[in-house]
Amino acid sequence: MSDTELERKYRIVLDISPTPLLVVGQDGVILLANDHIESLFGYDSGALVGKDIDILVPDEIKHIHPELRRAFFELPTTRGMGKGRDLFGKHRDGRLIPVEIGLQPIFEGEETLAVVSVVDITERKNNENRIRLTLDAAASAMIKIDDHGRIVLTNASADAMFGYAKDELIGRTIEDLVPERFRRRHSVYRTSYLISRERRAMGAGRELYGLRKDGAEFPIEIGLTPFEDAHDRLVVATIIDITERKTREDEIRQKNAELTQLNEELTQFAYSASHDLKAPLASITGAIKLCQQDIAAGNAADADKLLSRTQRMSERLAQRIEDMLSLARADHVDDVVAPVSVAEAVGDVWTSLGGPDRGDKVNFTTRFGHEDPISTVKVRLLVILENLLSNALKYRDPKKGRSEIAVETHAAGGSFILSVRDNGIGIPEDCRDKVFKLFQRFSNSKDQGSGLGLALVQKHVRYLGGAITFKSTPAGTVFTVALPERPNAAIQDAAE
Amino acid sequence: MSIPVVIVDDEDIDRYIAVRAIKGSGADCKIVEFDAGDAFTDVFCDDEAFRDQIGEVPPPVLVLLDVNMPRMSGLEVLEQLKKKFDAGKREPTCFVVLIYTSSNNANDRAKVEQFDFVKDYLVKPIDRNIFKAIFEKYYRWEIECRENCGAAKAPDAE
Repeated sequence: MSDTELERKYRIVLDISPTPLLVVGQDGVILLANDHIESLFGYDSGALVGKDIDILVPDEIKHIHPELRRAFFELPTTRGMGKGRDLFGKHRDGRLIPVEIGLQPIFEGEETLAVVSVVDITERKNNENRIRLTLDAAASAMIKIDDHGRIVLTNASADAMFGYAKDELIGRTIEDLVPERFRRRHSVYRTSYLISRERRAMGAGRELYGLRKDGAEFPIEIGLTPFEDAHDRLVVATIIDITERKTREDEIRQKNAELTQLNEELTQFAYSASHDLKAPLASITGAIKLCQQDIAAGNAADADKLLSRTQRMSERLAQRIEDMLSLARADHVDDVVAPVSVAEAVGDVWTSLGGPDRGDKVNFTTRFGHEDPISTVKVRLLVILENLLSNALKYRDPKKGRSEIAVETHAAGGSFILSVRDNGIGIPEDCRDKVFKLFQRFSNSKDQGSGLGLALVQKHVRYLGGAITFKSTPAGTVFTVALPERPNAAIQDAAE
Repeated sequence: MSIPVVIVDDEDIDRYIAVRAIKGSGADCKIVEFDAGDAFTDVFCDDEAFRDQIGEVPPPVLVLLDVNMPRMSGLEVLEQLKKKFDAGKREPTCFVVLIYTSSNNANDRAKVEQFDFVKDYLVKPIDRNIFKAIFEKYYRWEIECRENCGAAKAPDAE
């Protein structure tokens, strides 16, 4: 058939078709082309006729195109070209236009020709790209899987979250992202999900974990959205890495527990404080009433005795208030770490407590086995020493003859160890777990304490990053304080 | 016959005030003081010591018990008393147990009220007028109670 016959037969079809079309022969020569296709690729009307079809084929595949063309003509069928691949046509100016190509064989006598329809899919590709960019811009990871659990699409967040390169996950099963110990269960969950197919969060009430390529696990939250395209039943999983949130939640939970504890302590403190302040006041009021009676009855001597007791009572009350203030102040000490001579501090405290005035009744000994001075917060160390030594003085056991009080120190494993030993009345066994609690008194000693001393000591020791322990028997008690030799870091920790 | 009174308080001056208030009320009392909860329960649980220190036969013993004491609190003392009463070792009608404390706290009161043998809750300071009222209230039927106790079970009969 001559070209003019061919033209007469098909021209009209080509001209009225809204689709860019051309007719090509087995040898690859373009026999007919409509205006649409010529303008699509940037040619003047009629300019493509007589040219080789390869003029429109991208350079990279030019070398295989003739072979593909021959294959088509051997078994000519109506079909789309290059199924599953991205196809491009080459514009006259060299740029590539994304296209979809349909092939339709026509038989003219002995000759087989092909009608080639070309659809410009630039717009669609742009849309796809935009969607892709949107997906990649999403903060949450998105993974699309098919009904066999194979990954068919991931966005950039998903790749980054699980530590894979772009497209590296495509084709793997979703279980590759599930920690080993959950895998078996996960595949069962997945199968049943494919049956129920509801839009929901995964693993309600359970903690979910993702597995990174490097083997690390991290807590995640997963939303599942089922959808179906033309061929497949798919599921999109939206995944959020909640490591940070969990850490924050844990922090908040811990802070909350601390606050609750602190609140309880405060309530307890307020209760005990009010009680411990009120009790002596009630005693004083009672005593004053009696004084009035005595004076009215002319018993000046009795009244005088009572007044002395009342005075001692109010002095004790003042001391108690002082102790409470001191306890409150323990939180607000300016923690200046400086060299402090322990030997000097012990001597000073002992003198201030009137220790030397006790004469032969108390045998006070010291043995310093550490290197003076030590680095510590002097105010805190003084409070610790004051309370431990005054306790040792206060709770002497008169039955044991001479009272022994010994302060010993040594250095061990980065710590400064100080112990205060006495042969006093000891702490009753059943009270030993309450020793450091507020307002706990254990002794019926005449010289009543406020029940705050050891709580105060413990507080200061903790602020210094140290620890306090004690051993008590009826033979006496020894308190041992261990303080870090380099207190700076410890103080920082204790303050937080 | 004088009324046996037990004062349990760690605070010297409070015991002194109580003694003066009781004596000032005009009642004929034999007062025994304990400066600790356990000092009292030791005697309470030991028949011989009880007989020696508090007395052999009722009138019912007036027990004046402080709450906030070191070592053994008033509440713990009440627990001990309850155990003895529940075990039938002592007869609750032979005791008039009064709590006296400086705390007017509702929680503290509630804790004490769990013990049905506690007759009253006094808030310090106490004075002789309070004790006048106490003796009026609890010791008018003193004789009657003595008969009950004698007929039931002598506390030291074992």
